[in-house]
Amino acid sequence: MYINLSTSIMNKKEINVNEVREQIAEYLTRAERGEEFIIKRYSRKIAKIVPYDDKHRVKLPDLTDFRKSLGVTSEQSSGDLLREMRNSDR
Amino acid sequence: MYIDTSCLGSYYMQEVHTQKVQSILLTDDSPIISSLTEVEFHSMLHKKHRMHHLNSSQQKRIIDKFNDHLRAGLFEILPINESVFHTARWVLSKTEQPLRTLDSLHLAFSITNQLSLFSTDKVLLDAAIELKVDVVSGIE
Repeated sequence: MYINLSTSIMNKKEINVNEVREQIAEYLTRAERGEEFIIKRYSRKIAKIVPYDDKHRVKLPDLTDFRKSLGVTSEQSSGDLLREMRNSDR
Repeated sequence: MYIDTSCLGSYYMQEVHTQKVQSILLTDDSPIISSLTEVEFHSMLHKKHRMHHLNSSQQKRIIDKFNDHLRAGLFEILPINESVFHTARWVLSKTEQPLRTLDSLHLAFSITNQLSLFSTDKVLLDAAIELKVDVVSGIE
């Protein structure tokens, strides 16, 4: 099925499953720019394509206090130990 | 950024690379590990326990903290799928480095998912550079 992007996608927020299947890259590119789409199967709304929002993503914390309280004193680093373990694979 | 097991160890325990590893991890928006990383991290902690580098309490606290971070979604875990195994075979055929099975899988995971590799393991990093895999700089 041929679909003219300039006339069909640009003005539509509700899309059907076939359109998603055929033009997923286009919809993902537009989602990256901030647009949202509702996917319909026949007349029923079943899913959404929305921009990934990482503004509120919680980053890994500073573990300085945790490590101090742990009191691990091994001289061998994890990297060195892992190398031994990986090398033991034959 | 794909976090190698070596960096997880340096993040949760005080080691020579800890400060550098933590500074990089704290600024990364999407630290990714694999299902292999998770298993290997547990395996390493058990090994440290058997070697008496960790007692039971320390081991449990590290595992609890790691699991807290996983539940909070601070790491994204991706599976090792068939394409990773396929790429691992290619990796082993393309480098002169003395790679083992786990090395090839970690490198293949980075390649397949187009992720920079963050590791403190020199063998893994040397192989990554030879294979033109993007590596996170800063670890000597």
